Amino acid sequence: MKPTADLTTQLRALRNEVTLSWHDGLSLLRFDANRGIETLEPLIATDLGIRESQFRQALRLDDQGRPLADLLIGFFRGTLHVFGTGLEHAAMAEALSAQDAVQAHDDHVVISIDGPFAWELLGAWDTPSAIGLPYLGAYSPREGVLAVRAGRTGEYGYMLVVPRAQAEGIWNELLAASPMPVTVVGKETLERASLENWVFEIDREGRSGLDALELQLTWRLDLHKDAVGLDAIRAHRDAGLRRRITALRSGKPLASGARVLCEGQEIGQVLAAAETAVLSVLDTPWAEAGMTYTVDGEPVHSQSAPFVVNRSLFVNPQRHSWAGRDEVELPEGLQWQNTTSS
Amino acid sequence: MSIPVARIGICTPLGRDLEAFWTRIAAGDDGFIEVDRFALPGLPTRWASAFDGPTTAKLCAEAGHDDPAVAFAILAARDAVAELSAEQRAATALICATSAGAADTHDAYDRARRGKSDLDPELLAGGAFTSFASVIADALGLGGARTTVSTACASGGHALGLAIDLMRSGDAERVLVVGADAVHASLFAGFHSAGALAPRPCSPFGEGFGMSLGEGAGALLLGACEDPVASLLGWSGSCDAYHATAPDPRGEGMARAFRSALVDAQLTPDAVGAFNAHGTGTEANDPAETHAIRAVFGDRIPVSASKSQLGHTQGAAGVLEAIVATLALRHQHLPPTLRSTPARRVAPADPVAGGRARPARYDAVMSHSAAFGGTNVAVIIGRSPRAREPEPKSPVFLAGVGAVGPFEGSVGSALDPAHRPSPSGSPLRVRRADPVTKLLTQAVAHATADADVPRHGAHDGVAMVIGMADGPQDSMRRFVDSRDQRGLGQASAAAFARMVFNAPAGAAAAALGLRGANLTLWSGHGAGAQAVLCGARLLQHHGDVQQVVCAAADEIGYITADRDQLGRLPATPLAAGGALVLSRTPSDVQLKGAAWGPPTQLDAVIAKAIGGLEPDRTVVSSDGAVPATLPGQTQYILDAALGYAPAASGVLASTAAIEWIRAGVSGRVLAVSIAEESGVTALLWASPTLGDDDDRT
Amino acid sequence: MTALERVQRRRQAVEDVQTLFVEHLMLDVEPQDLDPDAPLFGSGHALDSIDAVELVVALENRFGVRLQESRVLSIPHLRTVNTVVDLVIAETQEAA
Repeated sequence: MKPTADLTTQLRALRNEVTLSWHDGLSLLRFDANRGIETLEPLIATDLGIRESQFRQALRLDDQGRPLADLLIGFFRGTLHVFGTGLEHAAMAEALSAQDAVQAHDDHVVISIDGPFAWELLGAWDTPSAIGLPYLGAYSPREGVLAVRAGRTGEYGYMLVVPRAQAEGIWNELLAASPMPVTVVGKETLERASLENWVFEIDREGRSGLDALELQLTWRLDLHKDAVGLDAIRAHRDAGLRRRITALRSGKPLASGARVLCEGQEIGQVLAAAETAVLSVLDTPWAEAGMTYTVDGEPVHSQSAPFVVNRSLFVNPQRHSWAGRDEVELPEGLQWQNTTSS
Repeated sequence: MSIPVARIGICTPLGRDLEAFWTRIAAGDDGFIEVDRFALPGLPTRWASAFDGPTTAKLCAEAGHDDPAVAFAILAARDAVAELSAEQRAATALICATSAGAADTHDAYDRARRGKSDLDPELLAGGAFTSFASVIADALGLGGARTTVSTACASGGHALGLAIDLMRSGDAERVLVVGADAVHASLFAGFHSAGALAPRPCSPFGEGFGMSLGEGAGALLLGACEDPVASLLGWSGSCDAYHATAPDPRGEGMARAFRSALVDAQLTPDAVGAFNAHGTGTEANDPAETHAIRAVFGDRIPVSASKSQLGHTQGAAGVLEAIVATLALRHQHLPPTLRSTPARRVAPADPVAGGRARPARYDAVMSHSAAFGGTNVAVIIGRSPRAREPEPKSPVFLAGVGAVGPFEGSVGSALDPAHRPSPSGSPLRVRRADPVTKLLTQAVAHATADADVPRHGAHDGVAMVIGMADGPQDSMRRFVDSRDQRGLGQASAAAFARMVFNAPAGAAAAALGLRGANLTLWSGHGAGAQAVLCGARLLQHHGDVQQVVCAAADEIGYITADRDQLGRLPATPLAAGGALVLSRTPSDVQLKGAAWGPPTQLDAVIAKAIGGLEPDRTVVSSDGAVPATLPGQTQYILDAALGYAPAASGVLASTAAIEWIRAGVSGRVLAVSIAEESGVTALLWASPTLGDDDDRT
Repeated sequence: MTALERVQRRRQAVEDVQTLFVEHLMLDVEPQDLDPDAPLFGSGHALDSIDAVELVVALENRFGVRLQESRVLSIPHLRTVNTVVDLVIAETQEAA
């Protein structure tokens, strides 16, 4: 359940094949659907008009409009499920008024399957119809197990919420069922992937003091509802944005906090960087793609997110398979990489 | 009770004579040609199972109607009723099934609006434009109730299902079901933009993705006769509540419809020996349907996709494919699926490959149709009638009510200022929807909240019957504009998906998780009242349906504006939505009587609905004159008071009735809808505490 | 062209694309609320394949570019408002 390959190998498996990972730290809360919605409506800044068997990326803001917790919220058979990151379990329960909710993290873990052929592994382990699960859709492959199609890597991704007592067995079943090599990946690899795809990480850019507008998370907000933090957001929106998170590409490794200059004038700073992928916060009007600025005297280029082209975009579960992956039409400059799997 | 199929009529590119048609189906013929009736600039395929230009002209002349879809319907229907006397015809009800209806007539109207020819007021006078069924009924001298089901590609299956329930209820001794649609340029354009058209004739379950269009009509006359062709054993519907155009890829909604139809027919899966699939050939439908068939029947059942021979005949498909299934059952053969080999990765184990029909012994077949809006319908046809255990007919109660319009949620107080409305719940915000969809969804949200249906979750036992008049006009206009401004090859796929008449119902079901059967009636003025009556029948004959939402809505669109300008509206146009939830659970309001009939039978219909129970009040909605004598001490004319909402008015009249009974200001209220074309519907609402033991629902 | 002029030109292109999205895709938001880097399909604004077709046709009509015949058009270009802006800029320069 721990990775054995190096980061480069893990990342290559994630971008070309299929990986498994074990998540112990997520807060998993379960509310009665109707009471849960009453509890969460005034706390969550996201529209909670979510359909049965569907999840949605949501935010709990603080009263300044900054993300307090990053949430995946969904409804499944009378239960409102919350998967949360950004707070310890006790703080999360308090932030969501979850005193009456079931703290499912006590006896459940999450196994995640990621990669361009993640669906093929899920289908081999469960039934072929599982590959039709829509993005952010949920189903129960067996009693007590919930599968949600959600990932943080830009590739096909599935989260299996599994009773702790069954988790190791299911992990081994997945390894045994896979029609292709499976690589175990760890936190560091998944974080790198989420940066390359610029999937919001609350413990990275989410703790930079920026609010949800500056973090380009407006799509997760319902600006018409009343919930904690939205008054601050509306006021900020009306006043106009002064800065915004912006992607940069750099030829050299950069450090968090490094100053970004435009024609000698400071316009922002680096928030997070890994190799050439850089997240920065830039002042308006400079926070746009397609510009060239400097950091430490070296040129950096602002660009559109994400930083990578995911092969998953070209893989169709109805037509393709890992064994026949050469039939996938990849765009120019992109080809399948071989992995040496553990 | 199984329903006998007395006689069948067809008008298809594979023939009009039933036996010759079966011979060609069995031999593996198909009707595909490169369509020559109209130009298709900018489109990569002209293939469809269609009539050529000269044949179409001949058929129109023979039918006496110049719209091809109407002509096909008349010709098929004429054969099906050929042996009925004039008196028998006068007592025959009609249910039509069509997706686009009189598409050529609609096209002529759109061309006229663009100023390329004079705007002929007759184009808007009604007829095929608003009430497809009344044109067919008049052409054949059918004098019973009439309505049109329009659930896009599932219309035919739903029309058969509705006919079964009406026969079971004794609303009609004889029902004619007619499914018809014609190919037209916009249909090619819409499916092309949606990326769904195959470049060559389609290959369901085989390699090569995409659907091919088709046209034609089929008619089944249902009712007692000496030597029935077959029997309809049961039916059911479901809604995926998933997406506007794509089915739930795991086929769960389809599987629910199959299982529920088996329950309705009191059959086990093993008793069904063949399956006539929706089988369009698209990448979305075929795998989903395969998963569903496998989940319910396993791999043993042979699966035929008749669209490989007939193309996708849209609203006619459910009827024509039921006819193919019926003929195959009688001849103890399985119809083939052409071009189904080499097979796709996900395909039925036995798609009846080999290019021709195969002998087989079986007693029952299931025919399945699915459509935009996520609506699914399955009908089971048997070789011989089957005694069905009679169920006690349950009373119908009102569980919830909702209305949206410029009357602050209370129709009752808009009509009667003395009435004080009770406050309604919080509105549902509906995103990414056209005006009629928003109105419908909000009205349904109010009514389901009033009925204590949780807003979150999946409600498999809640069905919907929706009434539409001019439908999603805004989306229709957007589609026409995109087609005219950008060309056929660039027409708006999004507007195409929203403009089918059951798109609003599908969106409302998805927003609220209502996953039971989902039907839309497209019958002009009175559609809402018809939806209430048909919803009551659905509730009474399907034990697994716990509640039925009956609703209707109207937006004020370009067609409304043109009608208004030509002075064809009886009152100021009104944008509104109304919804009721019916249930078997006793409540403070009961639907005591329900009856419908043709426009000429107002008095008889009212008498049937009220029986001996005199109402205190009567609420009328009419698109023409209001009769001078109506029952009740007080009469209210809805259109004059609120404005003219052709479909919604039929529900809003009942909404007022229900509000008054709940408030105790009235004990019995009659809601009457009078339409020059779709006919008369009368609904008697009463407080159950009055102790009337005579139930006429 | 100064850096300020360049960045203002980019901003204008972003606003044009945001407006086009709201007008053609029936999104119930103000153009300014479409974050330039927010995902458009799947999560984010939850557009689907039908919207993608609509979007491409709308872009062609609005900016006078031909995208459907062009080999450059591929799914990665439609991921965010910003990737769409990149595509439009590249294609209009190509056309010029």
